[in-house]
Amino acid sequence: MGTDIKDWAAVEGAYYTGYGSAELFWLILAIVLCVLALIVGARHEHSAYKKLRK
Amino acid sequence: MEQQLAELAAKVAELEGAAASRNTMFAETYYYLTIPLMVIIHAGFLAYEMGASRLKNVLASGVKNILAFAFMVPTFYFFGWFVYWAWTPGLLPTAETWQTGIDFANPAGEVMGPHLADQATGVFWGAFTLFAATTASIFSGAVIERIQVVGFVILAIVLGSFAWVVGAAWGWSASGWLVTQWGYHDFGAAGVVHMIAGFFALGVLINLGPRIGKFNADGTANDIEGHSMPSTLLGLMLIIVGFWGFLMACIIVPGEGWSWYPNQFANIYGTPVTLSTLSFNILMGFAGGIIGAWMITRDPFWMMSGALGGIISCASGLDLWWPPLAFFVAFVGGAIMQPASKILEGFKIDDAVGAVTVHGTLGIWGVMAVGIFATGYPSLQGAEGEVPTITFVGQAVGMIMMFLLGFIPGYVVSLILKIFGLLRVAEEAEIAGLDLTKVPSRAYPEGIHANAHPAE
Repeated sequence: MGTDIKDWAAVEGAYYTGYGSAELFWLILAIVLCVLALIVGARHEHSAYKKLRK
Repeated sequence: MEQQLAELAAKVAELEGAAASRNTMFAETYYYLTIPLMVIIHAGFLAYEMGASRLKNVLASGVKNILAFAFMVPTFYFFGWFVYWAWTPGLLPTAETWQTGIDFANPAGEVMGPHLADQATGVFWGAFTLFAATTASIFSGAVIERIQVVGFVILAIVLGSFAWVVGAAWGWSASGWLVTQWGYHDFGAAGVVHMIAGFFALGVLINLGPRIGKFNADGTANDIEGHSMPSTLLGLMLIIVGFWGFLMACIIVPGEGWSWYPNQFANIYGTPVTLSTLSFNILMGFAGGIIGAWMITRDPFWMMSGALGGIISCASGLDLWWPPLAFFVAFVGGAIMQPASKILEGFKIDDAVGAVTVHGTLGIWGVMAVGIFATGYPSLQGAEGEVPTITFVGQAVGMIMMFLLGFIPGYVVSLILKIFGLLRVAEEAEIAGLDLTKVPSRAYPEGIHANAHPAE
């Protein structure tokens, strides 16, 4: 990770972390985290209902 | 002499460069500032929905509302922005438009990140993300106090990052088929945002069912009052403040490579609009809606909803109305809200905040008002006879498409969630209160002197 940029004066285009190498990895990770949050959220919700019934 | 001319030319070029740079900075800043203005819409929806909830559900409603906003941001980044580009101009994407989506909105490409040669994409994406979040939040209020939070989030994503975006690609773009073939005109998104969100909510409400205690055995309805009318009213006013940002973002700033004109504001279709026009008509719509609602109901909830309903009634033609006509259109919208809501209630639909009526029904009125009072205007730039014009039929076609784009996904996806047990909360939880059941904190830990009804 990090960057190859050594001199800001030479930068004309993209300059984000992991440019050209890691975009897809972080995109997939972000998607997975969203899905995971929904799964955990649903499990919490359903266990809360079960707890209430007891 | 030649040297002086050369110096003069260089000076002119320098001044032109500086002017262009200032214009670019202005244009990007203009849209950037619409984003926090639209965030105010969400502050408003938060206060509105929490106020409209009973004490036992206040925080659960807040959590649901916050999550709708939060999930809209990444999902609009992942695919919502792509859908807008890939679905224009036809009914479905083609190989060519799919490539356009890749070019302008690839979530794994450099176009969607910090880039010195493209400083505008993120700002436009941000503004559209807030449009999406607004659309999802419109639906949010209708389903409070009995929907599961994850089921709700999934529905919000379908609505905010897909359904309305397709509507925007079809009818809120100069190359969308509803515009180029039917002359559909919807400047402020009465159809594209409000109708789609309102009828999406209706589709969900049919599967979700009413809150326990809303309807009696004989079919009559009970009023289920929220715990804080002041919070609801303040929320509505905040939504209206935020809508100035929303409507501000419906304008194309001049002087850029992507602008319609070098020196004049335009709407999203490339036809002229001025900030003066918007100031006249938004304010007249705001006032007309309040007064129309007050005349019929005397109820502060409907009065403040009338302010929003008035603006929605005028939204499609905000760029065209003669201001007293805007007042009339809004007045009618404000006046029909509560009776329309009662009709919906007659079908045993429990819309907790009137979202179907305010956004769906008045969205229809807003779209069709343009078809009644603004026919004949060219819908796009171009010579007479070469571009479509606004017609009653064209607006009706757009209205039907917006209804379907809202209702069908809302009904189908909520039905699937219902089948998988992800739609409605457990009955015991609804009776005991959602805050007590699943929120690890209390809204008013020291209590308030309330006359709230016990669990019903």
